[in-house]
Amino acid sequence: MNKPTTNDDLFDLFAAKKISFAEIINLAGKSNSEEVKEQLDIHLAAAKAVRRFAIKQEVAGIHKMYAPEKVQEPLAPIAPLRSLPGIGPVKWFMRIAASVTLLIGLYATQYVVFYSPNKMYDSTFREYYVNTERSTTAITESEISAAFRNGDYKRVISLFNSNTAISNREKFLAGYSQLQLNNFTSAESLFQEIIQLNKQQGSSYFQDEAEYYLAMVQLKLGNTDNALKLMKEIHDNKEHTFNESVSNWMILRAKWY
Amino acid sequence: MLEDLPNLISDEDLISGLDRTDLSVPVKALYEMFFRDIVEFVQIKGGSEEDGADIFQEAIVILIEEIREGKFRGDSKIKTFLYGIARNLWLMELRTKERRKKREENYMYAEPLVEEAKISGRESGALEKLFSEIGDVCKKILIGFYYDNKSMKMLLNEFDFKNEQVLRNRKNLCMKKLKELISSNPALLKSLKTIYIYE
Repeated sequence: MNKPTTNDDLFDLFAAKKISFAEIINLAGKSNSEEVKEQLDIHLAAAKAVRRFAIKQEVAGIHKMYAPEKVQEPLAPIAPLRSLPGIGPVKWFMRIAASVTLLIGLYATQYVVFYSPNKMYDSTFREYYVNTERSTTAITESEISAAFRNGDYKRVISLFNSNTAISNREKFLAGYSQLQLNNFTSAESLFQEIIQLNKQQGSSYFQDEAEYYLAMVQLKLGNTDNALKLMKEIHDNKEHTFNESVSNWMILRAKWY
Repeated sequence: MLEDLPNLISDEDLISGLDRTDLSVPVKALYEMFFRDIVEFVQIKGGSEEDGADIFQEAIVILIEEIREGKFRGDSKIKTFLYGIARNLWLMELRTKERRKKREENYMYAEPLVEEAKISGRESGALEKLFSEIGDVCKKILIGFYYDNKSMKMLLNEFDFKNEQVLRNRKNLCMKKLKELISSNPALLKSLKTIYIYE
């Protein structure tokens, strides 16, 4: 077993009776045990849903051998279309118009279901977890990190706004928090600031994170050209932290927009 | 063949069989032993053969869950338990069909055999819909991890992920999505919640 790095890892260890609740609180560095309890409850419920679903699937295989075949409700007979008198020349035009409408409808459905930026965002988005890295502004960093770990994104932003000595790390956590709160323009500004500052200073502190989540923000804002450009850069850079998160398939999908 | 099973398999054997990985033999035995009776029971109460079959299937799932969570230890007979579950599931079905008032007259004086918590939130298809929404890869990863109890290393051999950490990240994302979907269905969430003592 690798060292647990996320709350999910800790919750799984708790479910396996390998650690206690107090140890979760301790290892996760949390202070609000009620909130952790709530997260743990939902995690355990989800794990139970998985088990219930798997049991159902196994039982369903045997059930088929014993259950009566499902009877389909007979469909109501469809009355034959009657041609209306006096519209002969219009009929072909109407048929073509209907076909075109159908094709547009199919394209729109396909776009929404498979290719819309929101759909792509959902399938691409990778959750970010804070590590134990220390920044130069140790006190602020720990408070922001704690709030971030607790998923208290509003507090992250509030702490960020109340401090002037901030590094790219705090800026990134604030940007990610804005993204989680659906404040996409604010998130965009913060990620762009990180990239700009790195460019000026010739550094790369939180550059990869800023690039990846900026691409996500661009998807949410509907700026698909910008998203595609960033995703291509991430995909082409094998050293990029998020290289594996951007596949050829995603690039192809983004081109459909 | 399983024709002679009713005389061969005791409740004790069924319980231990349903607590193991391979469910096929004990579940077939349950169908052989109790399926017809439960279907007829539901039919007597106004349901169709199909209703009875669906209810029996759900009752079996509940029985397996109860056994695996250590809540069913054979204090009552399996047959009694299945009848109790089937009865409550059918009552719930009637309620959802807005025939509660009419049917409750038949059950007015009956003691509840199984707590309602075991059956609430089990509306047909809710769980299936949830898992179709998270996609096949997530479904397989989560079943492998939480149901088959496979380690990340074992699962890595079954999927095309670069390393264990990438697979772990994907599993966590799948769980995130699943939790969001469950949270948006309070009745289902309630039926899935187990009371833990936090120590």
